[in-house]
Amino acid sequence: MFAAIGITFEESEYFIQEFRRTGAIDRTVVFSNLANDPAVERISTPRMALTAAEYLAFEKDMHVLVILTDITNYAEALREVSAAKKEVPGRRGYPGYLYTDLAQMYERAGRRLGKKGSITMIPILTMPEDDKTHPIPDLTGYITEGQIILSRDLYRKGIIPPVDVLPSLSRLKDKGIGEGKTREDHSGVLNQLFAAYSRGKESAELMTILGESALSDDDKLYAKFADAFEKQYVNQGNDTNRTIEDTLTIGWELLSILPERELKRIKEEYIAKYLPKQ
Amino acid sequence: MIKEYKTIHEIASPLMVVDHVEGVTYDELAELELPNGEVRRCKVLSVEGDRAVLQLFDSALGINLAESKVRFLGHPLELGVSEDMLGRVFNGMGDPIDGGPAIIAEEHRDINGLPMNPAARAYPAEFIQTGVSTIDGLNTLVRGQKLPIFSCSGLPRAALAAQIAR
Repeated sequence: MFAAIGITFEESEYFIQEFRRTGAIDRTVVFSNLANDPAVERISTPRMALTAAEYLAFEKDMHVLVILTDITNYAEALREVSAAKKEVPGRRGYPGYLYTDLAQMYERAGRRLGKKGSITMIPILTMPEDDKTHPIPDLTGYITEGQIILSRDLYRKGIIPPVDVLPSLSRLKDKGIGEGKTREDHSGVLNQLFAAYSRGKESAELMTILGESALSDDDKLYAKFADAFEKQYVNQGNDTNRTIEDTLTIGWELLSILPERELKRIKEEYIAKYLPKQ
Repeated sequence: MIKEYKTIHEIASPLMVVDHVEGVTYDELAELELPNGEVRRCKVLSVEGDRAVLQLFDSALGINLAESKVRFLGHPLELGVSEDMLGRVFNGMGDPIDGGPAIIAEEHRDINGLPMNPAARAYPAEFIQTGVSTIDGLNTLVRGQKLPIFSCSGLPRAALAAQIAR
């Protein structure tokens, strides 16, 4: 289910071509409200898409993925109508009920007891001025179960997709991983990669200020790890489809850059089992 | 019986105020008929006493206040749903725009949906493999989750979303 909300023809066409290329188009329903279509229809576009999604998921037992792009345009249409109604504006001119309105939309995703289908939702929004405290990303973050944040810095380094790992979060990740779902060592590897990347970025920053000679040997390794992590783990391009096994293997290879004593977040039995031997 | 009103008080695009209405409800769909027979759609935003404020979906150009008629349809905006919708392209009002035939609806549903009963919600716990390491490995997506992408202007968010959709 794809809802184009006030986006350009180019972006909408990109999605439709992409669905065609991968053969997904026969399984896709498109609701299209482009930038030159009436703003008031923009408010009903995501609701149309979700109504169709609910029907297919809960009556026809399908697993529906809903992509809504761009929520920022939706909120702007809401602001336009609210201003025309002469309502009292809230933060940045958006109506005071922006939170309620977004919640009514986002909360239509989910699973129901006794139903086989599900609605998984990926809303896409643009942070105005790259500001995540702007009302649209801020209120969205309160309602949704996490967020994937894209980074301009990574994009400038040529890393595709430029996912900024540290501030990104999936609140349900612990529910979906582990033995029987992905692999027993997933949770440990995940925590270790997060921790090491975070420390590695700090070391790299320190290196630009104080110079490489000021770093301890461990910090140098961490900086090396952070760089390799971005280039190998994050930078997979748009056409590489990695299985979870591939992802975990790359994770272990990266962790082998660090001394084994630093891997404090993974159970020893998994280190013995999965860590590549030098 | 559907009443027609010729009591349009004022139009300030995209809003229209109609006086002396009876039995009009919030979010109800209405039709505006111009003297030349053209029909435009609108919906009720608020009702105060016998005055209703409507929102026009189309342009407000060329509307004659004295001669145009407003009909309230008695139901909110609905979408006719069917399995045949797969593979089709619709506009923001749910009308097909791909040149194909209209959808024969199995059911008409209020587009505002019914809020899901909290007790009927099942906890999402089923792993989805997206093929993207940073999502699968570090920010795992599960079925039934809502996981937004926060992008900055100019970044390739469409490419990432399409990659996940594959």
